[in-house]
Amino acid sequence: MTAKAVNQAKAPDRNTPDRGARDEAARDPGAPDRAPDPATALGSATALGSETALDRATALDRADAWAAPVGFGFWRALYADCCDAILAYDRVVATMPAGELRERLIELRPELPELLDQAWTVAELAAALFPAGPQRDPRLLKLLSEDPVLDLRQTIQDRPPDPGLRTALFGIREQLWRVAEDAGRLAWHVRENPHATDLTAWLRGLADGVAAARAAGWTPVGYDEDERPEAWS
Amino acid sequence: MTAGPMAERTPVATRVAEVLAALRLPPSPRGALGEFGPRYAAARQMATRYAAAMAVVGDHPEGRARLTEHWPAIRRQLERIGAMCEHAVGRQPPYRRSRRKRRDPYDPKARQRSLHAVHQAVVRLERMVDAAVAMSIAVVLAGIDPASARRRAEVDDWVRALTDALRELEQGQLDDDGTTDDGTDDDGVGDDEAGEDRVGNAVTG
Repeated sequence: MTAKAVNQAKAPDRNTPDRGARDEAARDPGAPDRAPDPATALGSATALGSETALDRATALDRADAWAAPVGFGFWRALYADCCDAILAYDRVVATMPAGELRERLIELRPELPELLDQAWTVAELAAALFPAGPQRDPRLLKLLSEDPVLDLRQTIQDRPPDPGLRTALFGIREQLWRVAEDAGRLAWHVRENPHATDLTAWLRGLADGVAAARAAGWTPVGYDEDERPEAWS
Repeated sequence: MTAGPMAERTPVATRVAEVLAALRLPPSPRGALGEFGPRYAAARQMATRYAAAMAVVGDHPEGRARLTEHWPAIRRQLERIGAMCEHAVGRQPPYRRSRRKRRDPYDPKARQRSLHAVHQAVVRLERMVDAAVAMSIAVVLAGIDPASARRRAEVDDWVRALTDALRELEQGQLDDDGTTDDGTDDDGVGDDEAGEDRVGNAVTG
């Protein structure tokens, strides 16, 4: 078979599904008036990295930063920060001498993936809604900057309005790192003074911190007034 | 030797086509669009973002109803941008052009006006999608914290913002259908000398 024949044979495979599917959708007389089911449609997009509930639980337990389908960029980095906090907690626990204190820290560990699960969900939402990160897509701004009549970049904000996803993710990360740092301080305290008597209070504080983090995971820490629609418009 | 998982994986291009078909987006303009290609691609990505907002909002009664109601406007705007891009690269019959333009379809001023009109349409679409995305987030956050009056008020604010953006989008379409204040017609290719002069003046200085 000649090279030309091979190309001719390959061409329909590369192009036909694309054109065919869209043309079929375009010919559908009810298409303009009937809204699609985006959950189904976008679900097939996320099937590129399809994951089951078991996979997700395992990934959360391992604090695997690459398991969540959150793109490559700002949201991935932020989610990875959350995973790093849990891994830091694990390292702190691993360095502690065997004893009751270490057992208590190990008991607290299963509560952290629940918090990471919230970070996963928020990061996934954010990656779907803001694929270019919290800033406006620079490619769009560049295209608009090439306008021969007006600089249309000024007609849209530099940052798309986000009523709380970014803040929520920052909040979860802060809570997770607070827990990891508390565990680290506790471990350091034990190393410095093995006969300390106030460890119970420290542990209670750590447990309270984990509980507060779980409770506050969904509640944004701050509230950005700039994100109000009045300011946006 | 058996094929590995990579051999069974669906090509990304096919998957993207399936998603676009499932979203029932209008068909992309055929052929090369030149410099208008990235503009159309940006507009299509905005429509996909809107669809993502619809997916995020879930079964929330008001949010879902609003976004579903406005979906045809998004679709029409994307279709319209596609037609403007096709027209701009000269693949549609220039029946609205003047006799002089028919003789010279590659007039640089016509290109500038087309580019500006496409950009304006893209900006309007982006603002609409921004409002839809923000409303969907507000709905999600209000669902997590149903007792918060502030969250509920925020949803209402964004619903209003979405309505305003829709009005702006449709107003823009109406303007573009006739002669706009900057002298361009629906495809951005003005057929009146006044429009040419105004845009030309803006370009030159």
